Amino acid sequence: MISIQEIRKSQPQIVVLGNHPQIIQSILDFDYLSGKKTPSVVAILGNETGVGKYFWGRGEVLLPLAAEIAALKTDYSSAVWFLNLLSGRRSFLAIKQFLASFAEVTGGVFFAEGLPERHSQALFELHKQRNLLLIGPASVGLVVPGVIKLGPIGGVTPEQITDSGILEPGDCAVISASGGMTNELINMVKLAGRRLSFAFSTGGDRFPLPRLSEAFVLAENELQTKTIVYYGELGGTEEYELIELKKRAQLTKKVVIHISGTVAELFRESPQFGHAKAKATQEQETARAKRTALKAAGFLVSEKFADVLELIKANG
Amino acid sequence: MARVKISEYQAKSLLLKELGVPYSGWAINSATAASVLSTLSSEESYVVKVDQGIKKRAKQGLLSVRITLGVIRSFIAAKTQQNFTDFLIEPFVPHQPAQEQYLSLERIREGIKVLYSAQGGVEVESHWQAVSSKITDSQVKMLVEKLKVLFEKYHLAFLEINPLVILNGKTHFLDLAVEIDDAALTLPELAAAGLQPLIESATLPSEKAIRQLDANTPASLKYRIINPNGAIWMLLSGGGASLVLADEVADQGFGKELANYGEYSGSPTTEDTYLYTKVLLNDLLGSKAAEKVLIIAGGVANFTDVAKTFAGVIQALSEVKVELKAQGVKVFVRRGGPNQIRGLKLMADFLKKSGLYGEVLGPEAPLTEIVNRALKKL
Repeated sequence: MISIQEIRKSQPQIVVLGNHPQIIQSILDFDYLSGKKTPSVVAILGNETGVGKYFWGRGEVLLPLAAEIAALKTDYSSAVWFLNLLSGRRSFLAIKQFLASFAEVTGGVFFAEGLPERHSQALFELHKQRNLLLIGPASVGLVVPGVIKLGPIGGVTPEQITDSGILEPGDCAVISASGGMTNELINMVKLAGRRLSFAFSTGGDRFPLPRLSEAFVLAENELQTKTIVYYGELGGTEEYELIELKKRAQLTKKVVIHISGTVAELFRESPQFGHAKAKATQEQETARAKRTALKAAGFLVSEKFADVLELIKANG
Repeated sequence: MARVKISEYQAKSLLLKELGVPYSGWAINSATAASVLSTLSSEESYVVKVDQGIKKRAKQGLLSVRITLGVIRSFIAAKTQQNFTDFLIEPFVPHQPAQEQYLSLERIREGIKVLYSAQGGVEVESHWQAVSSKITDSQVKMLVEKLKVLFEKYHLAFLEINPLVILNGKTHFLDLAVEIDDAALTLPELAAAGLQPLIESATLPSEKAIRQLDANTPASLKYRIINPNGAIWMLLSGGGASLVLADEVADQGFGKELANYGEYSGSPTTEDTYLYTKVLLNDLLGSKAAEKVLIIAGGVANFTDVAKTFAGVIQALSEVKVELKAQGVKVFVRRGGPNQIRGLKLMADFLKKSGLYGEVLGPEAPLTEIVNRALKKL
């Protein structure tokens, strides 16, 4: 799997599957504001052919549109990423076809919610076999300041992109199980007077990619990252793998964690919350149990969400 | 999108048929009970249970075994009194407790996790150490292989047979619980099976209305009542932020006052947020709490348009502004995202004009600050 340093050294080229002009424009705005000479989006695979007109700063730029994979140029000069904006039902089949056509894919983001679990399992297999950095499903994307914005992460309007702090690199990595909370943490990093090294949302589905332990290893191995900020929820048990990583000294950086879902205690039986994984069917999946175990293992665990800000400030 | 239960009757009809095991069972509701019961024999011994996806029925008195037709009638009458609506009747299968086995399959990241115990039955949890993935019995092994095929075919997420009884080579699923992946329900291979997810038995009319809305929009809409007479009502956006905000109320010791949990996300339309807010406000106005606050909050949205979604919220608020004012409802708003300046201004202007007490914050304020402010006014 590619490392964040390698991403920094590369010139990412993005093929977008599905059309969502606002998100695509936000990637171009990010590129432009980062001082790039050309857009990172190299093609849009959708229902149309010809070219799509987008803003490039105050000027305009034309992006190639293709209605089928065969019509895409396949010999890009460097790292190819995909941004899959298709619906949950169609996401997997489209990407399977895409990966069969492109030998040199680095990774990509799955934006849609509602990918069937079997499709997520198959993606996990692909991710292992091809050693890709796959992110999602239900992910708002990946951002490395100045290098790549793969998805709506950090916002979609130029004001958001300028204000959110995703243009200037820093030393805080953000990993989040929720799209909205990814932005909220990016906002908090800024409120704490710090900046991002990189950020991505794994999404709140049952089998998110990358696996949480892989996500943390990415951050651990990234030289600019000093502090890792993680937002997780009740449901699932993959947070316990972080404890194992720490025990084996494979996770040595400062880690600030917030696990939400204590409100579930007000219900007789844990309800299904907004995200597919957000339901505790056994004790160790509850927010309380995860907080307690992570704290005991030496992670900086917030009892209240507002504490996250203080923890980020104090652990630079 | 998540795992959803299907009724035991649906699950058995589907799986046993595929396994080639004859199944006789009768699914009834209070309306059809009389006509179905008239076809049953008064000589036979039966099992009757509430079939609404409830766990641990034996311990809650929601099933009765080895009973006659007369007892079935009184069981159904009694449970109907307690607002249960759906039942399953099956012939009783005579067996020894020692013959009760446990078997479950669950979808995990790496495939399907199988758990088995030769000591099954209602007390399986008290000797959980006997449960493992090791199976030596050849008949059970064969059954697992067949079930795995069906598990894939029907996108099952969880399946639990307890007790499983095998008598003279004949398989009996005395109790079966199945969850399916609702994200797969619309796939062609599953659409044909016509599986219907269960709606939780305690679902209130307003909760049902939101489910209906949710089913008809690509956006995500969730709504649960915790305390219908609560003082703190929350209109939240974002799967994650909604949890953090609701947690904050509970963590500050106001859990008893929390009326609801819910969220809208995935870029709902103005119409979606209007209809959603309308349902919530109707419940809020119906609450008997002496003082009420409404917290309209969410994180910094990635792509949900704040002005567009707030336009729907404001429309619904303005329809009942007189009632809200009469009840002294205080409104607390915090939100960020695309078009936040316009959206927040629309909200602030509306609150001012309608004379409602309101505080409006943008992303410069930490997410949960709005909860602090609301709780102070309670």
